[in-house]
Amino acid sequence: MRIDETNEITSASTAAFVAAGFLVIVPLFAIVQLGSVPFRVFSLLPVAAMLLPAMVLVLLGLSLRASDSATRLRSGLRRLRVYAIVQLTIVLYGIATLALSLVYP
Amino acid sequence: MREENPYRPPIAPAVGEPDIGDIEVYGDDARLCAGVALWMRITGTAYVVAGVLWLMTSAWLLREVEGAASAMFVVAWVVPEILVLLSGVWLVRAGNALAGVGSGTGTLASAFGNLRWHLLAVGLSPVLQLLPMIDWIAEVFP
Repeated sequence: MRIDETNEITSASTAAFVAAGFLVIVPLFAIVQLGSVPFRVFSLLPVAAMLLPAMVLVLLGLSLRASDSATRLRSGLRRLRVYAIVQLTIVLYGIATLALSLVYP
Repeated sequence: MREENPYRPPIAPAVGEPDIGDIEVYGDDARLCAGVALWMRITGTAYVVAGVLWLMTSAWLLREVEGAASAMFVVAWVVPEILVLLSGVWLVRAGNALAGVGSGTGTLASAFGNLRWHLLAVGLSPVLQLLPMIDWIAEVFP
């Protein structure tokens, strides 16, 4: 398997995350405009949940692109660690939210 | 100028186009791989737990949804949940492969191969979840 293949998939996934991020932002702004719920920082969490991994994935993709140098591959591995930690935070937040919604429906 | 460690051969791919399968990892790089692999395994396990919990919730909710709404429910909820579950499995597998890079029980090619499937699943999941919102957005912004 060539590094370029992984990079292509990373780019595709990045695009999906960015698209999802924007899809979340649009209804959020609509909600704020309509004034149906008060604007809170809490509302921005879903946006961050989409856009943060996207940003990390962009960096990861840049590291893997033309990564014929070992330095870039090492840099890619470090960014992969950041990606895993960011995703872990988001997943734990998701589990906590789900658990709270079950306890206090 | 930084001094090169003679006991630490660089992870350099073969001549020509880079192929992850040709890359051998030693010393500090192997430790870096093991460290990254640990986080990937933890995150992958969390994904699996989240996927199972989410599926259980949906199975309960699905009983109350009928007709056309149930089809959308399956596409926008159940499929993304299965994708989340699978993405966790792939991330754990990628972590296992990456952890074994230093000892020869895993390869970077296997790690990145599994990572590719994880990224596909994890990228597709939120897009499916937001499908029902498209109608709603069209109503808000006619």
